[in-house]
Amino acid sequence: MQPFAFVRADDEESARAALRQGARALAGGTSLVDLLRLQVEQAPALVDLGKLPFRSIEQAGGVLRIGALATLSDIAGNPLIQHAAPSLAQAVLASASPQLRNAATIGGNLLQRTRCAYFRDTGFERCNKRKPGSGCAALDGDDRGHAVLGVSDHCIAAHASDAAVALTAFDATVRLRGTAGERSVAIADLLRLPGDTPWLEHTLAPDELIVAVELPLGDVLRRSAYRKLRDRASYAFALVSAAVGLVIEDGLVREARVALGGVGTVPWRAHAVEDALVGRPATQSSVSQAAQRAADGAVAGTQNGFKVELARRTVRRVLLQLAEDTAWK
Amino acid sequence: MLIDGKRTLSCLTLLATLEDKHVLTIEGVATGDQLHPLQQAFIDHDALQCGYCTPGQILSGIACIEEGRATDAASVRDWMSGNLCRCGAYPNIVAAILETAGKQ
Repeated sequence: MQPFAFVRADDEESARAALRQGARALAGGTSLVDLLRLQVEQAPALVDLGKLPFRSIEQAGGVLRIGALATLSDIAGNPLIQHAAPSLAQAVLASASPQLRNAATIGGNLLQRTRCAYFRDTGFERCNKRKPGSGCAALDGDDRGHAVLGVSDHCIAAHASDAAVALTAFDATVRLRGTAGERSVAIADLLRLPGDTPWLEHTLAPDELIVAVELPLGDVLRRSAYRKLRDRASYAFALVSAAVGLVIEDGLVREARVALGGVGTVPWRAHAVEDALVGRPATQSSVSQAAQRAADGAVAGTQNGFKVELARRTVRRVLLQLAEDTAWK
Repeated sequence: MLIDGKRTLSCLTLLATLEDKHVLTIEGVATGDQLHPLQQAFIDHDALQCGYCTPGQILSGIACIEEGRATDAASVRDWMSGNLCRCGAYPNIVAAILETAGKQ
C-alpha cells in the first residue's frame, strides 16, 4: 500500500475541504481499503467520514430515509425496513459476510467499484476503468461473471451491489450535498453506463457527499422480495439477482417493479417486464410471458450467455412466489 | 476482531479510524490463564489444523453466538461464511461453536 495522508472530518465542511484538495472519501472502507492494498486505487489522502451524523434510518411521511453511513447490518436488522421494504432487507442480508456488513455503508455500497478480475489485478495491462484507453481484457477473456446489459465495446464489468438493485427497482433517490447546494438524483442518474468512458462511474461533483438514500414507501415495496443466485449459498457475488415487487387486486396486477443485479454494468431496471404485467391478469402464463422480457437488449459474450435465460427464470420465480404470497390477501 | 462488540475485518480497517472505540482481538479473549470457552472448545473439537484462520474464526464465533445465530449447524455455517479455512476444519469449527452456544 502506498503512503497516504489521513484526515478525519469533524463536519461536512471539513470533509468537503479535504475532497477539494484531492482526498478520497473513506466510509466503511471495505471497497476502498481493499483496492488501495491491491494498488488498483491510489490516493494522496483519505478523509474519514465516520464522525459525520449520517447514520440514522427514519420514516418521514411516505419516505424511508436511510443515512448514507448506515451500515448494511443496520439496514438488514431494521424492523421498519424488514416490514416496509423486505426486498431491501433481503438484498443487504444476501451481501458479503457479517464482518463486511458491519462496516460497509449504504453510500459506499452504491459507489463500490466492480469485482471484474481484470480490474482488480494490476498484472493485466488492459482495463479501461483502471487505465483509461488501455482496452478491456474481459472482452476476449474470461467473461463468465460479466454483464450482458448496458455493456459497451470498452467495458463489460458488472455492478456488484445487491442493495442498489432493490433501490433501483423501487425508485430510490440519492440525496447529495455539495458547495453548490443540495440535490436529489435517481440511482440511474447517479451511476453511469460505461459507454466509451468506463472510468467515469458516477455523477457526483468532486466535493459532493451522499448524505442519504430516500425510498418512497408503498404497497409495491411492502410486497417485494429479493432473490440472489450465486455459485455458493453464501458470501459470493450474484450471477443473477432480482428485486421484484408485485401488487395484485381482483386478480389483476396493479403495480409491478423489477430490477436485476449481476447482469448489468449498472443495476438494471426491467421496465419491459413491468409494462407487460400491469393491468393484466396475474396468471402463471401471463407472469411467465412477462418474465421473458427480463433481459431484453442483452448482449452476451462467450461464457456469460447463460445469464440471459437465468435472469428470465429468476424474475419468473420471484414473481410467482409473490403472486402466491399476495394474491389471496 | 470485534469493534465495540461487532465483528469486523482487521485487514480492511485503518487503525486511525478507531479512536475512542473498544477493540477486542484474540489476545484479549482469555481471562489470564483461563481460556475463553470457545477457545477451549476449539481445542476439544480439534477445530484447527494450521491455525492461520483460528483467531478470526474464534472472534467471529464469539460474535455469532452473541448475535444469537448459533442455533443449528446450518445457521452457523451461514453466519460464519465470511471466515474461510483452507485446511477444511469446518465441521469441527461448527461443532465447537454449537457446543459453546449450548452451554450459555
